[in-house]
Amino acid sequence: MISPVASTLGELLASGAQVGTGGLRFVDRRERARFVSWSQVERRAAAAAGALRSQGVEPGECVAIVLRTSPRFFDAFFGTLLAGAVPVPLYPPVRLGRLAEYHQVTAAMLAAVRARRLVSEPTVARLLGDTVDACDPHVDLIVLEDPPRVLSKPTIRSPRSDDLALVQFSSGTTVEPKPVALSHRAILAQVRTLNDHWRDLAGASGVSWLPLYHDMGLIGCVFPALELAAELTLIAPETFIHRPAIWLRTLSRYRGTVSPAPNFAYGLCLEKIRDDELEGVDLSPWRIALNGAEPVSAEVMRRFNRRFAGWGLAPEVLAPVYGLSEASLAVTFSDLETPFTSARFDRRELAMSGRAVADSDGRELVSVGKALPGFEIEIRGGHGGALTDRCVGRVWVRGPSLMDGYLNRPRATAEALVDGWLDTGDRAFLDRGELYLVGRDKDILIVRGRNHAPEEIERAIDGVEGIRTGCAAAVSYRPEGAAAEALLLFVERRPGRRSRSELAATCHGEVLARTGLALDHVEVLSPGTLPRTSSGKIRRREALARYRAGELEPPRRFHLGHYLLSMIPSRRQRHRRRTAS
Amino acid sequence: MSTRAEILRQIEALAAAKLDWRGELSESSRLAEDLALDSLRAMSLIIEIENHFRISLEPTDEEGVETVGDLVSIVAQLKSGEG
Repeated sequence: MISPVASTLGELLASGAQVGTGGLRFVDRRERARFVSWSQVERRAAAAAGALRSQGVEPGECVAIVLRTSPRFFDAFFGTLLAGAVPVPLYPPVRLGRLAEYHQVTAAMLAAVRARRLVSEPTVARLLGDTVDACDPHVDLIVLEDPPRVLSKPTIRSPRSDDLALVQFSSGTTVEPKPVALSHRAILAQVRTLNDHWRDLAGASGVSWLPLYHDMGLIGCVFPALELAAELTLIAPETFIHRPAIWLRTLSRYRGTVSPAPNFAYGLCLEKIRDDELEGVDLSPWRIALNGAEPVSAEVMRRFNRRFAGWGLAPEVLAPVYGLSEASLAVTFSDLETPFTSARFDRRELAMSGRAVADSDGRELVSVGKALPGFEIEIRGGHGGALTDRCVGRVWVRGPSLMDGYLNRPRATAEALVDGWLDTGDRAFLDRGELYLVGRDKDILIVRGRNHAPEEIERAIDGVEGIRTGCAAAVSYRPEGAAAEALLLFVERRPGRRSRSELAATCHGEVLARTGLALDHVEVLSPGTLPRTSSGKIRRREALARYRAGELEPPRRFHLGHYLLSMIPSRRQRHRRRTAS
Repeated sequence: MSTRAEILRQIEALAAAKLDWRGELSESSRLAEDLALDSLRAMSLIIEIENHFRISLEPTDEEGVETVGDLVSIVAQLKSGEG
């Protein structure tokens, strides 16, 4: 018997399938479509669940899923749920090389959730051999048939709404991967909040090219469409990246009403789409283009509006939003029926005194809107007290869709969740309920909507000749007016013959080869220039703040304290010496 | 059938047209370091190569591909396989 109000994702699938409308449409890069109705999705998932159970999948265990955007992904995802287990979508291998790094990152994520099984497809599975071989305890690779063979539906205890539903990673990294554990209750609360908020506008047709291992793609697009028994048209992320016009053409062809994306995607459209690719395109059905997952640029949105107005894009469609995977997805939404708003603030006051003071020549900040119904935002100061309007502080969030915690990481959970409030690590101020993001307190790099740990990049240049080991800081920020975050690396040089540009080029190459990330700039500094804590740890945000203020300078020659500090090896150098001896 | 030198020149032309690559490529050019291929550019190059040579590259084909020469080998192999 299906309950009228779903309390688990499995029930959501059952009730969505029962309605008899809607489903998933997969558009390939030649723009051919394949439609799979929600009831077909459910039938395939039930068969997949039987197959997974027969392969030994136990209720409650974490099952990793490495699949590209395809019906197979949903077989594995919903199949795992119907088998009573917990899906953990991970990203598929990057194309063209750097598999060593991919194996490491994937193995670290598998270990973090203690996964013993990984579901993939034949071509990807062969590449994953090295990943799973390196895992301890052993991980079994499962390849489901396409479509899954029909077996009897497994009989399992149905999960309760407070049980773990899925695990998503807030960043893909070998350095302390953080598995965000979400309950059925939290996810469904997020889905209902979204649908309640946009139901009248979103209609029944979504389009998404977002990866399915990303909260915005899965929780923001797939589940809301399923709850409404609506149509969702999916494009593979690589198809969009290669030819962004396909996104807009697909929106037009299927009269898509809602489609979210990170800021960089709107910039990519401006950069790559030619007018002749949009012949006959009509964007007027598009009602909601959410812009989130990374800092939002007013300039990019203005240009996007100007550029595509001729194809029927209305100015109120672009809507900045704010959220994070630890809150399932969205926390704030800007008004969906009016154009986005921004304001300019005195740079110095924002940075130095933490106050938002209007200044017509100041830094332009976009409002990401107000807290969604059921959510609360508090801006807290250094001592934890709530700040008043227009004071910059740390963003804390409370609401119905917060994570249970980081899976198997009690210490990280205790730091992030305090008395029911989530510490986002973001810096912002509120102005009459509207949230304006100013920066981040956490050392996280955001590259095209994905989070990375700075250590990944800093470690990549260990051992570069002429660079002081352990004396590097990777930071990212969005320059004013830019479409994307800029990725910067500060390094300190050793005395030697290699020129600064030579050192910078080597660092650039090493980082690209080892992490797949292209740095926008490498700043080679004299020894001792990077600000450090009293224990010698490099202060990344301080380095960035000084760099942006044009004040990242070497210590003065005769400043004894700085001079001595520059002579002290960094923590990691000391560690290396110990381990070497 | 295309010779290796022809394939190399065509890949160079694709990189110039689609990745704004300026300069000469040799078989020993490394993809990540010399061509500055991050994941986004790598994806673009793959699709351009597939479209241009009318071949289909699976992720498994790309295992161990580090240089432009490795890429030339794969294209040559897939082209000869179909002919």
